[in-house]
Amino acid sequence: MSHWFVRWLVFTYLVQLVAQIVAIQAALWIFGLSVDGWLGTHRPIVAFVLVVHFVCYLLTMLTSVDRDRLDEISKSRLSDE
Amino acid sequence: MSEIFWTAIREPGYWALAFLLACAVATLIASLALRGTRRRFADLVNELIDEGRLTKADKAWLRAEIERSKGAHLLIASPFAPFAILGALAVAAYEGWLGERHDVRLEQIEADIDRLHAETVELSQGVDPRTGNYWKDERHREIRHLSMVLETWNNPLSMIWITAWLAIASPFMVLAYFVTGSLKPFIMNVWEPLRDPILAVLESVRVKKRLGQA
Repeated sequence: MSHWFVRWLVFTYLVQLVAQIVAIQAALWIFGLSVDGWLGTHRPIVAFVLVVHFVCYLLTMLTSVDRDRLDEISKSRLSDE
Repeated sequence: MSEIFWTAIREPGYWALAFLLACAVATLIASLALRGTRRRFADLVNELIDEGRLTKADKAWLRAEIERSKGAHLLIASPFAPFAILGALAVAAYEGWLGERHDVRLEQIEADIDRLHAETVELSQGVDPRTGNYWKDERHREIRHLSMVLETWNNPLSMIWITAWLAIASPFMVLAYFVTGSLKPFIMNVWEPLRDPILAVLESVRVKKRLGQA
């Protein structure tokens, strides 16, 4: 795996993680709930979930390689030049 | 054991973590399920290229379909889903109440979707795809279908969000069905127009802005 791919992977992972956390916070705020205390006392579970979350994301990216193939076809074989 | 379970599910933190996991798993499942579709799409595009009959218009159309299959527009459109769905539902109830002839309008909408699709390609690529060799080819329909499937499920969370709002709207739909006596206005107003025109409008705005800057 090249260096830029790892950087890009981590960046896109963080972006979607933040988006999901914002969605969760919004839902908690709407229902007047808080998770701060619970998360603080259950750190191993939180860490485990985050690891599984990241592994799922990694597998998602690795199974989407055909998307790059389509991009490549679009740029090289479908160019007007 | 069961006490621990019931205590856990009463905690909002548990649901927050479950939501995170559900998001990750849904995205992974969609990605795995789309592999075959994406491969078929690429094979079809390669097949058309290898035939050597592609005109400039065909290439523009295929480029637009590949771009569309990424599903970026659905991601942008999904935050507006609640307004679009509930608004469409109100219009549907009103039209059902009036008893308009929906068979004719459904055909009209399909024709409009076709026209909008061609115009979107023309705006983004600068060529009218209807002048190409493959516009009326049987594979055109398949490529469009594959591109639509990819577009829809590339961002499964957006689709789940839209579906959730459809589910929220469904009791109102049932109620309105009993009032108006027909489901057709709802299918026509809520589901059919939701996708392509909204996406086409978004694409048009984006392209017009780009043309304006050029």
